[in-house]
Amino acid sequence: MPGIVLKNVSKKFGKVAAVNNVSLEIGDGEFVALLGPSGCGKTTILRMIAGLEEPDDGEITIGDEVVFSRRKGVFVPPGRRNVGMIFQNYALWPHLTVFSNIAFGLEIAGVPKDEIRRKVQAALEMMQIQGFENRYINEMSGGQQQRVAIARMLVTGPGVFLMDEPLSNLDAKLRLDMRAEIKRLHADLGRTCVYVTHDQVEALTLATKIAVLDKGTVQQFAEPMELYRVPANLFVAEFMGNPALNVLHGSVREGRLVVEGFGELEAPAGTLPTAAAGVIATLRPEDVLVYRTHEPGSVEARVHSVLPTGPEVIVRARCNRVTLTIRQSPESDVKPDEVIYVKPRQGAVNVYDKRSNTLICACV
Amino acid sequence: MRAVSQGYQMDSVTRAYALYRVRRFLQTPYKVAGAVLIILLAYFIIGPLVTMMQTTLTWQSEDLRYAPGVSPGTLTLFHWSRVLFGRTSASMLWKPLMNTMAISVGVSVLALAIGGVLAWLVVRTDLPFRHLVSELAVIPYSLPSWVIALAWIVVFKNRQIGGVTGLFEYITGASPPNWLSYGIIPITLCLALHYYSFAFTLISGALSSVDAELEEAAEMVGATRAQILRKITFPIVLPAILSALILTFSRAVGTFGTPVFLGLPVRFYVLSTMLYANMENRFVSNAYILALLMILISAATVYANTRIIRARRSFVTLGGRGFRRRLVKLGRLKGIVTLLVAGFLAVGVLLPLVVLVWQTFMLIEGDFSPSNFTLHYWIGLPNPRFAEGEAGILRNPMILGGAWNSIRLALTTALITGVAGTLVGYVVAKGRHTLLGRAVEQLTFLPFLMPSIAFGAIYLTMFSRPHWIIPSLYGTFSILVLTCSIKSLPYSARSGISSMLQIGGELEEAAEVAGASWFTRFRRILIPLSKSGFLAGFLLTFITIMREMSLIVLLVSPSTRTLTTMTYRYNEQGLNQMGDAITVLLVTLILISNFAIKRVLRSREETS
Repeated sequence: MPGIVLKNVSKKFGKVAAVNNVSLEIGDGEFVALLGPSGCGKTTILRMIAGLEEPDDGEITIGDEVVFSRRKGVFVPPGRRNVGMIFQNYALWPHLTVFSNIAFGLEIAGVPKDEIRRKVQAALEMMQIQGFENRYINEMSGGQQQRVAIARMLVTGPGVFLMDEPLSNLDAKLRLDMRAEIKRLHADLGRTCVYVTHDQVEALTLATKIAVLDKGTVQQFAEPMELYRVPANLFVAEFMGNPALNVLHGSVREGRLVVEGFGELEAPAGTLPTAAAGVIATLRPEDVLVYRTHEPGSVEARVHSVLPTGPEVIVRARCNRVTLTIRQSPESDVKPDEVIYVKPRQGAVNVYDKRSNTLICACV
Repeated sequence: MRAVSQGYQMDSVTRAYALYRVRRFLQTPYKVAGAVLIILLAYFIIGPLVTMMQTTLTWQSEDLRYAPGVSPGTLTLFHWSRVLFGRTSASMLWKPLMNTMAISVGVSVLALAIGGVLAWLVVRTDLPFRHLVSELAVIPYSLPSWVIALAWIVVFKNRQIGGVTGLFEYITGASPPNWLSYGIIPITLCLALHYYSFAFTLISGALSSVDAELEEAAEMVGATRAQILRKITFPIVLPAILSALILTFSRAVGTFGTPVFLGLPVRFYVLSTMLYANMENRFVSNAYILALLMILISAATVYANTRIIRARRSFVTLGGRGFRRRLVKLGRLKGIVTLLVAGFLAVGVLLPLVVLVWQTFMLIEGDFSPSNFTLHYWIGLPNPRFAEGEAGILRNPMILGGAWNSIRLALTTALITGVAGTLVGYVVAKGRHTLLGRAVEQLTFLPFLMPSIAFGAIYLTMFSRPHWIIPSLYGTFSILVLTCSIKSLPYSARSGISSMLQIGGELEEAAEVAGASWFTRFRRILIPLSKSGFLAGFLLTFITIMREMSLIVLLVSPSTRTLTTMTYRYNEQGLNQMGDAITVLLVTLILISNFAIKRVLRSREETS
C-alpha cells in the first residue's frame, strides 16, 4: 500500500492562506486523522491529496509517484491517483440506483460487465446492504447511504482511502456503529487512510496517527496517546480533551514551579529552566486528585457545582480564586459548597512557555 | 558569462512553469468554458454598447444630409446637443420622456394597488375560490402586454381617427372622447391591467413566506388585527412591495406595443416609440441617444432594487419549514369583496380576450350584431372585398409561415439559451470564488438592464454589415436568434446557476475521483441531474420569445416576420380583424405552452 508524502505544500484562497507550508509523511497502511477546528485547512489538504484542489506550491507523492510538483510541473488528475474518497455529504448520485452508483467507477475503468456485477455484489455484502441495489439514494436512510458511499469507495480497490468528515451527518448511535465499521475496514484491508474530522473522539478512536491543524499549519503530528498526554503546544492542549483541561498561570523561580491555585509544585530536578517569568501549567480534569481530608501537598477547595453525566461526574471547584474542572467517578458524592482537598497527580502537569505557547517541560 | 547563463536558467524554469499553467488551464474545464464565455459575452454585450456610444459621439454618413462637409467618423457632440437642447428637443426627447415617466409612475402605482390588494385577499383571507382567483390573476402576465391594448381599440375606437367605430359607440351611440380612446389614460390603464399580475406574483410570494408566528406573537401582547397588519405584516412585506413598484416601473419604461397601438394614431410618443420612429427614419444617432437614456433609467431602477433586496434578506423569514397560516375572516364583507374580485377578473382578464375573439368573427368591423358573424378571417378563401384579398389566417401561407417563424425562433432561442445558461451556471458555480466566475455572472446580467427596443436597435446596426468574422446578418433569421438569445440569457443563466449550485460540486468531484473525463461527467452526471431545471428554463424562454415584439420589431424582414410583428403590421394597415385573429392564435399557443410548463413543474416537484 502506498504512503503519502506532502512536502512544503501551500494553498491560498484569495489572500487567505488555507494551507501554509505543510509537510506530512504518512506511512504505508497508516490511518491518519487530520484534526482541527473549521477553517484550519484540513479539508483543503485532503482535497489536494485527492487532486480536487491544486496547491500553489510544494510537492505531493503517493506511493512512488509524484502526483503534484510545482517545481517539476506535474499534476496527476484525481482519476489517475489510485485514491478513493468519501465526501462529507456522501455525493451519491440521486439519479442512479445503488448498483449504478457503486458500479460507476468500474464502468469508467472499462471492467467487463459480469465482473462489475461480481465486484459490486462483494462490496454490497461487505457493507451489509445486499438487496438494496435497485433502490434510489433518496429511498435510503442516512446510515444506509453512508454504507453505499463506503462501498463505492472500496469497489475499485484504490490504494488510499480519503474520508472528509464522513460521519458528521449521522446521529450519535449510528456514528458509533459506522466508526466501528470503518475501523474494522482498515484492519481488514490495511489501506492507507486519511480521515478529516473536527471531532477529537473520532480521531482518537480511529487513527494510528493524528495531525492537529490550526490556521493552515500542522501543530503536532503524533500518535493519539502521545498527543493526549504531551500536547506540543497550548493550542493542541486546549483542543484535546473534553471537558477542556485546567489552564493555570504561573512562573518558575530558582528552579521551582509556582502556579495559581496550587502554589509551589515539586518538579524532578533539572527538568525546568532556572527562571521563567511567565509559564502556563496544564492539568487534565481526571488528573486532579480529590480528598476529604488534608493530605500532604493538597490545597483546600470549595465545590461550586456538580454535573453528573452518567459514566462520570464533572465537579467544578474554587481553589484560591481559580476554578478547577475535576473529573470524578460516578460514585463520587461531593456536594456543592462542600470543602475538599485537591492535588495534581504526580507527573500529570505540563508546562508551557507563556509567550511562545510551546512545551517547556512535560510530566511535572 | 555567469550572469547570462543564470538568466537563461531562470528563463527555462519560468517557461516550463508557464507551459505547466497552460496545461492545467486546459485540464480545468470550467476555466476554459469561462474564458470562451467571457470573450463571447464581451463581444456580444459590451461591444454593441461601445459601438452605440461611439456612434452618438461621431459624425455619421447620414448626417451629410443636413451637415454637408463634415467628415464621418470624427468626434462631435452635435447629436447629443441636438437631442438634449436643439430646436426639436422638446418633441424628440423631453415630451416623450415626460410621457414615459408619467405613464410608468401611473402604471406602477395602479398595478401595485391592484396586485397588492388581490395578493392579500388570496393569501391572507378566507375569500372563496382563492386558488381559481390566483390562477386567473396571473394569466395576463404570460400574454403579450399589448393584448389588452388591442381589445381596448375594439371597444373604444372613435370617429376622430377615421374608419369604423368600436363597441362603446355601437352600444351607447355616443363617440367616446379622444382622451378615452387614445393617449396617456388608456395606455396607463392597459399596462396596469397587464403589470398588476407581476406585482401580484411578487407580493403574494412575500406574504405567504411570512411566518404566522410573527403575527401570533403580536396577538399575544394584545395587538388588534389592524395593528398587526400595519405594524407587523406590512413592514415585513414592504421590501417586496417596493421591489414590485420599481421593477414594474422599469418594465413600463421599456414597453413598446401598447404605446404603439394606443399612442401613434394620435401622435402621442413615449421614449420607446420615439426611438422606433427615429430608427425608421434613419436618425440612428438620435435613436441611440434615446436608447442610452432608456438603459440609464433602467439600470438606475434595477440598482435601486438590488439595494432593497439586499436589505430585505435580513428580515423576510424564508425557511424550509411549513408555516401555519391563519386566515383573516372577511365576515359580512365577504359577499361584496367576492363580487368585486369576480367583476375585476371578468372585466380585466376575461373581457379583453372575449372582445378580441369576437372581433375576429366580425365580417365588417364595428358591426357587433350576430348577422355579421363570419369565419372568413380564420378560414376564408381570398376575397378582394375583405382584408385586401387575403385569405383567412389558418389557410394563409404567409401567416402560417409567420407562426412557424415564431415557433422556430422560440425553440431555437430556448435551446441555445438553455445550453448557454447551463454552461454559465457551471462556470459560475465552479468558479464562485474566482474572478472569472464573478465576471461571467456580471456580464450575463447586463442585457437585463437594456430595454428590448434599445437592444434591438443596437443589434440592427451592429450586424447589418459584416463585423469581424460575422457576415452581414441583416434580414436573416440568424440575427433574430442571436438577439433573442443574448437578451434571454440573464434569465436562463439565473436558472442555470441555481440548478448547478444545487447539484453541488461534490457530485461532479465524486465522478472525477472515479476517473471520469469531463465529457463523461457532463453526460452521465451533470446533464441528467440538471435536466428538469433545463426543461423548465427552456419552456419559460420559449413563452417569452413567442410573445416578444419590441425586441425584434426592428430586425424582422418580410421572410422572417413572426406572429407578433405581423399583428403590428396588420393593425397599422387597419386590417384589425386579421391582426386580432393572429393575436388570438398567438394567445392560444402561449396558453397551451403555459399549461405544459405547469404540468412539467408539477411533475418535477412530485419526483424530487
